Amino acid sequence: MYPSVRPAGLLNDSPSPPVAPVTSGQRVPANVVFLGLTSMFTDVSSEMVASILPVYLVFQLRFTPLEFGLFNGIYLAVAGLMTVAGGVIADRRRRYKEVAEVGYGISAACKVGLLAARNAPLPASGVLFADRVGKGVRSAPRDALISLSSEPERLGTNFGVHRAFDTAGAVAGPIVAFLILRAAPDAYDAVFVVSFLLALIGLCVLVLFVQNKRDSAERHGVATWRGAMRLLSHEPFRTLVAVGTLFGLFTIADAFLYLTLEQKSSFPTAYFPLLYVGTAISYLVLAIPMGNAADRLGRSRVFLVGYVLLLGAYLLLLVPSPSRLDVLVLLALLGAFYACTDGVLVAMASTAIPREKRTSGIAVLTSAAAISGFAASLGFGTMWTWWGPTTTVKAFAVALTCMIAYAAGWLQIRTRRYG
Amino acid sequence: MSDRRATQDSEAATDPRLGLKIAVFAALVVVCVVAGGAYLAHARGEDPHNGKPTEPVLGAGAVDFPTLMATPHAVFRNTDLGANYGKVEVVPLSAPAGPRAVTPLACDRVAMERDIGVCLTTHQGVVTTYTGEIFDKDFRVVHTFALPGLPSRLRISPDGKYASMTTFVHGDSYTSIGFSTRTLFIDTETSRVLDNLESFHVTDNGNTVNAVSRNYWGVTFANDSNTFYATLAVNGNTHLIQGDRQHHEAHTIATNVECPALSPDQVHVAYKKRVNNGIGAVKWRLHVLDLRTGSDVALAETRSVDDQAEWLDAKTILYSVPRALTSTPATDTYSVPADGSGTPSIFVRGAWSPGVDQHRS
Repeated sequence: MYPSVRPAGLLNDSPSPPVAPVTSGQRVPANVVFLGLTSMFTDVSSEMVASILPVYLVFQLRFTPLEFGLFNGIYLAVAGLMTVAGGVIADRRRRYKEVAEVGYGISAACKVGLLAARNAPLPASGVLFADRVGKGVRSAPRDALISLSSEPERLGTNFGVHRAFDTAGAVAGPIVAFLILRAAPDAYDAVFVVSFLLALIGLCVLVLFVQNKRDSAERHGVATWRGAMRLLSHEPFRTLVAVGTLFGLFTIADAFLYLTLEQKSSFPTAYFPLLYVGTAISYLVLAIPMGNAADRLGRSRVFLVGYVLLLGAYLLLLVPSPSRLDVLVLLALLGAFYACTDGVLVAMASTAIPREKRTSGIAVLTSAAAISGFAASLGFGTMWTWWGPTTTVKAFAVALTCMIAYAAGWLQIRTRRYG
Repeated sequence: MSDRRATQDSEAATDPRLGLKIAVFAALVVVCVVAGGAYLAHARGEDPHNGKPTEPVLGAGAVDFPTLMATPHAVFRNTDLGANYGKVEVVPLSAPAGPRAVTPLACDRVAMERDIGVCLTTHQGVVTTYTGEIFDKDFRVVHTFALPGLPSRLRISPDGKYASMTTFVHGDSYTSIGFSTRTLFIDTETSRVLDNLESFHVTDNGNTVNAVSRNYWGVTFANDSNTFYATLAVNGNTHLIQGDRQHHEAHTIATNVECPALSPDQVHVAYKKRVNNGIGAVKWRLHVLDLRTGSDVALAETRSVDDQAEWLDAKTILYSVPRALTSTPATDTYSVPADGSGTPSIFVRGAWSPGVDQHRS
């Protein structure tokens, strides 16, 4: 078993000599840029489909919308298990790149599956579930590759760079879909074909240009399911999983934030997608600066600042009738929250998971956070039923405030335990 | 960017096959651009609005339009490919398979009652928006109003004063692909939204239904234009509710009833009954429920029908199904006896969202 080591010990795994103090704009590893490009193409591909999916399913496939309530806890648990399984396999043979390829490949294949759903009674919900599994399988080995390609003191920035590429794709996707449908009205099949080709290009960037990180020195035994779970008995990873999971419980899902907003203001529901775009633009702009700030000022501090910003968004929701400006500020805060927490949490985890368990550790962390996020949504929905939106948001705000205070202690923000 | 690449990653720079990889990648991009462009060009040619109309169209002088509108007739959305794809068309009930009158309106859902019509439309864009239009007997748009989501069911009250539509709103559920419904009542004179069914006080065996996950759809009006029936879905079950629009209340009267359609005699409800609840495609059978006796018959249509039925007369109902084994959005409207006898037959080819105006006075 690996010894319970200090972060410095874990991180002493880079073949390159320690680098000089960083200045911004330098030394983004090629692997990070190429993984970013892969994610960007894949996200354009996914989001262009997501933006037309409701109309396509209802009007072209004559699908009944309520069939979609299918993404329940069981599906989520299965997707979570697949994520961890992918992580263990990736770690066992150091095949991060290959497992990521499988995940990105599944997503590309699903675009063809949705196209086929038009002519064959292929259950579209099954294809959408497969797409989600693909996303689960690819994320952990991809993040492991980013962390293994990074100098320890640049982890936050590099994850920020990757997330910026990723989010740029998410913003571009709906625009590409719109341009296609404007050129060829009702040509949903053309959207799927272009989406598949973009996914293919993304996959090829990964296959051709991303370097797998397999160092020759075999260390500390073989990654297994039990090994992945045993990570949980080790500090400081356990603390991080606990913090990530508990924060997940007090995080209101974006969809519910938007729903609350819709109930309080006269914002037309049809513009829901614009709220996602606003949040994504804020995230895109802030991902690299916040990642950089995390490296320089302390990752757990920036991580906690992210939740303070989220708290600010909750408080804006409590404004009796939010103005357009309030809505914009709320979206900016939400994007900043993602910029401070999403990549930064994985960067923190990278300092707390030994190299040979990097993927399975990241998979355990993100799956636990996803499951607690689902629980939060169920809780939010139930509380909303009994108490209405205002009281529910207040309760979440109070819980989040307490959580931030506790987490500051658990994460030992003074010591820069997570870099 | 360029200096990053230049200073970066010695491994990539020393890869002996880098040149080959770049060539492979460039070739792939070229192939993808060509393939994507070719498909897009092909798709433009396949635009359902292009080409000649496949059905005979009433010329201006062939049949007098006001005469057609003054006799019993059906309005529907044309789903046959061609220049009139998506247009609202009208046929006389005396010859539904014959020539159709084409109107200038294009709608996803259409309904008409007492010379007042409602048309629900999707506008595809970076942000897809949905609108409703109220039109007059000459199919001229009088009012336009915003809809909260994808148009689904639509009915107008017998007096023509109210319309109710169900829309599917996406993006406000536990997952980004979840849907929920909004069912609205509007005033057809002003296009003002009068009520949202979600805000009604609804009881199930005396207990108030207040789950956040409840959904309503498929309103059908009674002859008094105030009493209505609709579907309530809550906790995985669907219920038939009977409501009072003015008093903002409703109560459940039966279970497993979706998309009710009240008969001309006011005592039967045609509806779709969910016949499987497992994983896989959901199937519905058309049934007719007798509200007085509770007796329930399955109709002769054995295919799955996902539509709100329309009563052609006291004994026959109309509904639309996708045309089998085609990759086009084409649908056909069928008729079937309402007592479970007989067999389904095509009423109008290439029609969706049929609405019957018997011109009973």
